[in-house]
Amino acid sequence: MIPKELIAASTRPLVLSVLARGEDYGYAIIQRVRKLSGGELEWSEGMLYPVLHRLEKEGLIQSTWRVGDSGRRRKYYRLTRNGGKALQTEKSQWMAVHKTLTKSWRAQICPS
Amino acid sequence: MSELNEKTRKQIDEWVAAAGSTESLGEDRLAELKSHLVDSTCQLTGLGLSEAEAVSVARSRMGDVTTLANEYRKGDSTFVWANRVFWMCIGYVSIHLAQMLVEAASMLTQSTLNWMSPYSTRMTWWTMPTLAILGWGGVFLLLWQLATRSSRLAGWVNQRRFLWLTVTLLALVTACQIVGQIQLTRWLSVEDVGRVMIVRAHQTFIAQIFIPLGMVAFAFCIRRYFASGSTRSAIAS
Repeated sequence: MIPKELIAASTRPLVLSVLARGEDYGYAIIQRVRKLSGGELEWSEGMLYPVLHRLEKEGLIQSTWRVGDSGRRRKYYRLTRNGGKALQTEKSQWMAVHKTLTKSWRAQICPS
Repeated sequence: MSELNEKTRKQIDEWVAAAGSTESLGEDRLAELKSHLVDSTCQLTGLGLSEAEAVSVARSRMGDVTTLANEYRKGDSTFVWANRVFWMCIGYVSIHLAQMLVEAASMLTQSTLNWMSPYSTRMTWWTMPTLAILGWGGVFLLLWQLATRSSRLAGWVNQRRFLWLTVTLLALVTACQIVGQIQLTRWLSVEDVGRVMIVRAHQTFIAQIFIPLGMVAFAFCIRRYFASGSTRSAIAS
């Protein structure tokens, strides 16, 4: 089970990454993350919305209410230009962590 | 919501109404949460759950409404500042309470010493400062001991700034005590010192009881108005 702190830290880059693929609404974002993680990342569903609200306040995403394909009215979010830049920054930071961990584990497996 | 039956729709509306009445979430947010509940319920019924089961699961997956409202407020700068003001007030009150305890302990010790040996322990310029240092040291040690037994307090106390804050406070209080005492013992006779002490005690009583109480009331009003709570990592279920 992934610890809460790690899930919380990854929420922001995950939301930005999902929205980088195209605009979407809250419930669909949760479903997409669940699918991408193979069910390993379990969010408390309601808590996504305050995150979306904060990202919108920071100007990283924009929202609009409209009727979707199902005929139901939903709030759709899309990435702004600043959101795209923020995502790039997040990516480089997470990749740096990932590389460091990978190297560290590789060194443990094959000690020189 | 047309594909859901009347009872299910009513249950969803009830959740939204309850969330709206207990927490000031706003119409836009409530509409979005309602839309989420409908989506979630529809998907769960598609997986084979009855509507009653589906709406119950959807509501529980949504999480606690108060935590949700607190998470929304974290992005609200007014709330963030209200929270800071609240903790500033709590800090102010705590310092005053500690100071009251130290002064009370100092006076008690001094009067006991006077009672035990009336001729040898007349008030000197260093009596009160020494007692204040001992008292503050005691408060600091007590807090330190408490901190080592409580992980939550430890996180706060173990910060370097707490140490500096305590040292600065000790220095300030001691300096004030020394200056005040030098003035009293140099310019006034022992009898006058007694009278002045009474006046000062009254002033202290008013300042240290009523002002902090007022500030606490004020702080709680702010906190109550904007609501509060730290809900770290709330998104993780």
